[in-house]
Amino acid sequence: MNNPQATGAVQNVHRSFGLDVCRTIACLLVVFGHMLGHSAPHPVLAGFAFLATFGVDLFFCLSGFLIGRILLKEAAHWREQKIAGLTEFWYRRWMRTLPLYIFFFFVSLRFDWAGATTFAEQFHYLVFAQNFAWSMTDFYRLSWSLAVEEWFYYTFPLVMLLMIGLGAGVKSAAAIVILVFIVAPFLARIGLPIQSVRYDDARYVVLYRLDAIGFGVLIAYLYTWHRPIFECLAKFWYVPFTFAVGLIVLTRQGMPWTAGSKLEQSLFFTWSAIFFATLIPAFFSLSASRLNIVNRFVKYTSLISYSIYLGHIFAFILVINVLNRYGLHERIYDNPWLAYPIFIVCVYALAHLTYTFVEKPFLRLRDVNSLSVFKFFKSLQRFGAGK
Amino acid sequence: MLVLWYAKVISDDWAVRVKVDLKILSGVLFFALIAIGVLSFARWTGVGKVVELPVPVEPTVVLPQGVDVAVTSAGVTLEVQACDIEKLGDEFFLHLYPANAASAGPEGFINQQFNLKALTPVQTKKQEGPGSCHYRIEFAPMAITRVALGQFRAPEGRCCDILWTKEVKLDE
Repeated sequence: MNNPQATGAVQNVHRSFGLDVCRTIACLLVVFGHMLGHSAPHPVLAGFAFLATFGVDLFFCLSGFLIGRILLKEAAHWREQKIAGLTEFWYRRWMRTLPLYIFFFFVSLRFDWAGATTFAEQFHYLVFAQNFAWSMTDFYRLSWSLAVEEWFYYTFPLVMLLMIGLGAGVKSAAAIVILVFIVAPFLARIGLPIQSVRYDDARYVVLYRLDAIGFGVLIAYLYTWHRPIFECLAKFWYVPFTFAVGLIVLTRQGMPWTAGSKLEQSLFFTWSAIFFATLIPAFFSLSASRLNIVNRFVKYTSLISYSIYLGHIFAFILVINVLNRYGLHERIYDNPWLAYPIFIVCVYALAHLTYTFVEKPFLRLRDVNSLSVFKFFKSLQRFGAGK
Repeated sequence: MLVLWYAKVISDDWAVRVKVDLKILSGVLFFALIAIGVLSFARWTGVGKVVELPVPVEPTVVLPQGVDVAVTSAGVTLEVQACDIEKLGDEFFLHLYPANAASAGPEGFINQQFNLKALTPVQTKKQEGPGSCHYRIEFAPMAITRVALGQFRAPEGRCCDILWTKEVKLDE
């Protein structure tokens, strides 16, 4: 799985093939799990729908690693830049994540799986207050993980800047904040009497899940300042991999649900985050496959993974409605050999559209700086003058 | 050891520049207050408040007409009068709750879904009137404490409308 020679090397200026693989696996696990949940699969296959949960856990760790690397790099200038450095970081994150989130929020108001609703009832989704320390409703259910991400983007650098403002260097500020973000959710899961929390409920609460991203940032910390440990994790990938498989088997047997105490359930979240986060170095060290088609598939899936994640349920709804309208529901929906390929094609087609027409334009806009705006107006002036 | 190493990293790094930046701190305070305000406003509007859920409509325990169910620790037998399964076309669920919870799926039970049309019955003929068909579903070989049997529909793929259900405790 790993290639020590490639460890630490970024194969591409913008993309790492290994991290693309990680993102693709995470994304497809979620789609696979939800596809089973939204169809009539064979009972044996239905037993694997829970894999979607690990897809999201892997996403969290990967996100922590990627954002962590950016943060630790940028935070080196925050003492001079002060708040401007932080707001620049937020601006870039929000331009990346908010447009599609808001787009699907409005789509959900009309076409949500749980039924149509109104803006007045759901406006709090726009400030990610749907599941901060409480259970969310069934509306726009997928957004729970986005809320975890967004609150992480908001609070982690804010606390880090606080530490820098108090006189800490970037390294110590990062070390303290990572520790806070790992320990606080763990303790919150055990002790906070917000409401009677079952494993299922706790999974979707922001406050309880921030540690998964925190462990990802810890790996970024090791990558930045303790490279030998990072490389060691990549070399001995089979250790966390074995534990991760063990955890998945335990989950299949009902472990987090049947655990006797909150402490055990809280530890389950923590171990899950540790095992998946410690797999990130191994993914990072992966080099591209010899099969070009595999590389292209991985790269493309990774590129549109955010669109796939937010849009796949709507693709399922679209397929089911079309089947109903044309009286093909029983003939196709109940036959997984027909239904699943149609689902997958529709998921990719919708993701391609939303990536092209929602995500991409905002990403381009994000990279427009004052100089390029000036150039744009200058060229407009030249165009107007007929030059 | 790890704690000591951790403390050393922080103290070494911090000692270089112990200088509080009030501009940064006031900025952090401003954004922290925004977050607190947003969450407080959301809570004030009722987000996350536990609401009284309407009492769910209990699925009927009345078996469909012409069907008898016999449950033993080894399996379940459905007797369909006159072998008329036309009205029993919907999927059946059979939830087995094992004594050893580790043997169950994440939901706490083992699901054995089936459809009568896919099963081969044992036909019994009576001297008078129409006979009946017996459909036997064997349980997995393990200690089972409870069994729930019923039929469901998934209208437009939305799972599930329970048509009827019958529960039998086997450990009493």
